[in-house]
Amino acid sequence: MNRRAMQESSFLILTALAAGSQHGYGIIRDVEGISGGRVRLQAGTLYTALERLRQDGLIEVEREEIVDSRLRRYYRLTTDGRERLAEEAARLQAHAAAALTRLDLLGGIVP
Amino acid sequence: MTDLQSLERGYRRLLKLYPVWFRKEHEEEMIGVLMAGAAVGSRRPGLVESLDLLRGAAAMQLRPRTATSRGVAAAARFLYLASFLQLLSLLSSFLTIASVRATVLALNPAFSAAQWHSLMVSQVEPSRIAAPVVAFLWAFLAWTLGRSMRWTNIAFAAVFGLFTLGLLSALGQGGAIYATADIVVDGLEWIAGFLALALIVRDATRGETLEAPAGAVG
Repeated sequence: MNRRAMQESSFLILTALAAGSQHGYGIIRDVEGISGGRVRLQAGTLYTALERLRQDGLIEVEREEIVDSRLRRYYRLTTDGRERLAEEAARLQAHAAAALTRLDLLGGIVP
Repeated sequence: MTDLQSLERGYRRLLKLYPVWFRKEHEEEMIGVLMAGAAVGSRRPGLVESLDLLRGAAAMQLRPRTATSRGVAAAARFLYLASFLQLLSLLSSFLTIASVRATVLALNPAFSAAQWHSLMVSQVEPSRIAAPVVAFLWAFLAWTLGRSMRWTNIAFAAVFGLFTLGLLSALGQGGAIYATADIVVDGLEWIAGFLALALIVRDATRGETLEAPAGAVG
């Protein structure tokens, strides 16, 4: 089935959750690390994406806890989310491989 | 009031713009994230995060509240587009009025200043007053489409019918010759409305069951 490409923020959030459940601020920091500091999600963007991913059944709430009298909610990937992330990662990898192969053929610009 | 209390109050003020259901679900959690990410000594939300929260609030206010079919979700997007085009049409009306008058005078040299005044009062000014109302109606109908309100389809058909009559009337009075830019924008708006109507009718006749938009990640 042909699906629309995933937005980068959604991809990075799912990637952050692939290693285990995380709370909102943990996701922001992890995404920053995964992207080499290039992407720093703002809270509004994060929660818009989390709500959408949850409605699409790709993530779910694992647990809640109170830390320093603040609510922390931990999110994790669902089975569908894991499959969708794997599918998107394979698609991106195939595109990147094609680009690198062609660049290499045209004179070795590959770093 | 301490810096932290003042900062938290600023965040809560911005979060008030989100829908009630979203705030019930996420406000306390978001406050925790916002406070954890705030620069030391901040007394109020920064510009970038404030704009991001405003954008997030708008996205949450506009997105379908209930699960909708893909057709209805697409129809809502076409109606938001129609709303935007209506505002563009209003802007176009102000920007092109001089050239419209020049065209009218070129084609009708005997057209008097009194006749022009009468045209402005009877047609141009009412359409300018109506434009924001129509833009609001399109956006409101798009918003209600995502909330499965039963009267929406009837209201939409009525507004679309009135808009079509208005467009036909403008065409009948030579709008395509005198005010080409305005008519082009209105025509695009009509197409957006028609596509929305077609999608709604298609779903209704198919009796499509409501489902969450699959594969709509992104």
